[in-house]
Amino acid sequence: MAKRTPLPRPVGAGLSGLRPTGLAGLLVCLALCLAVGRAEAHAVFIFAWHDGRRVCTESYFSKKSKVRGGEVSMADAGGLVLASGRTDTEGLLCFDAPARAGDLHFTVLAGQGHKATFTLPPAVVDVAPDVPAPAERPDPASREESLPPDNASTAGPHAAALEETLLPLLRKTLREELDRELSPLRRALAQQGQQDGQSVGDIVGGIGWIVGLAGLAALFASRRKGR
Amino acid sequence: MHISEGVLSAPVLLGGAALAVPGLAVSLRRLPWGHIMSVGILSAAFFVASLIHVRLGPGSVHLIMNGLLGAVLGWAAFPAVTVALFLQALLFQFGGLTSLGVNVCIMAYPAIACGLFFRRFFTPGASPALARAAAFACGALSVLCSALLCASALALSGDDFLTAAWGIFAAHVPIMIIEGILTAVTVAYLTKVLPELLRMDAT
Repeated sequence: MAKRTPLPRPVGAGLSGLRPTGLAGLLVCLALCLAVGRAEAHAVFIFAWHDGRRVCTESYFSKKSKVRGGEVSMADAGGLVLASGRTDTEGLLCFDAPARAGDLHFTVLAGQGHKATFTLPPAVVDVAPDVPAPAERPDPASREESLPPDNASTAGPHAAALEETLLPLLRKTLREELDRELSPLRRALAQQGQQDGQSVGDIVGGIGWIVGLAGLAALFASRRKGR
Repeated sequence: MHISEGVLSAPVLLGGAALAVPGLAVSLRRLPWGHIMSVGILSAAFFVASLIHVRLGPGSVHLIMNGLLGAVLGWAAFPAVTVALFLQALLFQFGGLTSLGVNVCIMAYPAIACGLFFRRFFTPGASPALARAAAFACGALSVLCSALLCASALALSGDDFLTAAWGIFAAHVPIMIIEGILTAVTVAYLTKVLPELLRMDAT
């Protein structure tokens, strides 16, 4: 009886030689990897936004996983560290806005070699000072001159004084209200364009690259074998 | 376990790259070209394994699977890990391109060392219990060695070794157990279904 000789395995054999059930199991595992991978990510990211007189940062691994207790530092354009602190349980940390305008560089160290940076350009609209500038401040004397003579003697001084005290207060209150209203909007704008871990496209693309490279290597190997 | 850009000092980055090159060269010379698609598939598995996270207290850690690659691929684990880490850095910002050499050393060398040591127990005639125990040890010890190498790289760049090592070790104990079980199950399955895959260096 002739001895059975095993058929030579083709180039690229191996896992591809698995039975259909085994291959299906592998594919299910890969699909599970994709599904779970969407829920959690592990590259660290940080972004910042102007929040009135403060500058706030948010550090995260993914939408659902924030950096807790991460070390965040704020540096000016020259690299001088202006302030630093640790993120809260929501990954948030706010600093007082520095007096000098310019790019601000934020760095988060999330431990175990995880680090991310973010550069925040200066605010488009400068925060107005509490008291109006002298040039803008209404001149009570000139106002009195412009008022009719009968009003100038009675309501004029009172109105001017009222305006003098009320206007800065009104401005301050208005600015605080606006800051409060606009803060979530600024945060949402800053968050836009930020990376949120991985997309399915990236994952599938990466697998495609690896399989493609392996296929290319197999092709070269088979050609070399054929010669 | 992926060290980001800008964390390590320049000498550590250069040292890591310099150490990765000879490992890559040797492994490419020993690459089992007849099983190249298997190497690719396991590289893809390693690529997506880092996306599987285990929630642990306030943070989370991810699977690594370098032990499995070492157990199945041996020397071929090196290019598989290199390609996967390169794509992870490019697509997900896991680690970074400048720290690629260090990250490759951290994950590939323990995989190969453990794989080459424990693969002798995966022979078809060996006791199944011993093979499973060896595969478990291969998966778990690869992660442990990678954690120690990661802590060493951070320590060489200024971090306190014991603090870094303890932090990384404590975070990866569940991963060691999970990966040990994963490697044991996979090796037991392959021993039954596709034993030649575990001896691809010889074929």
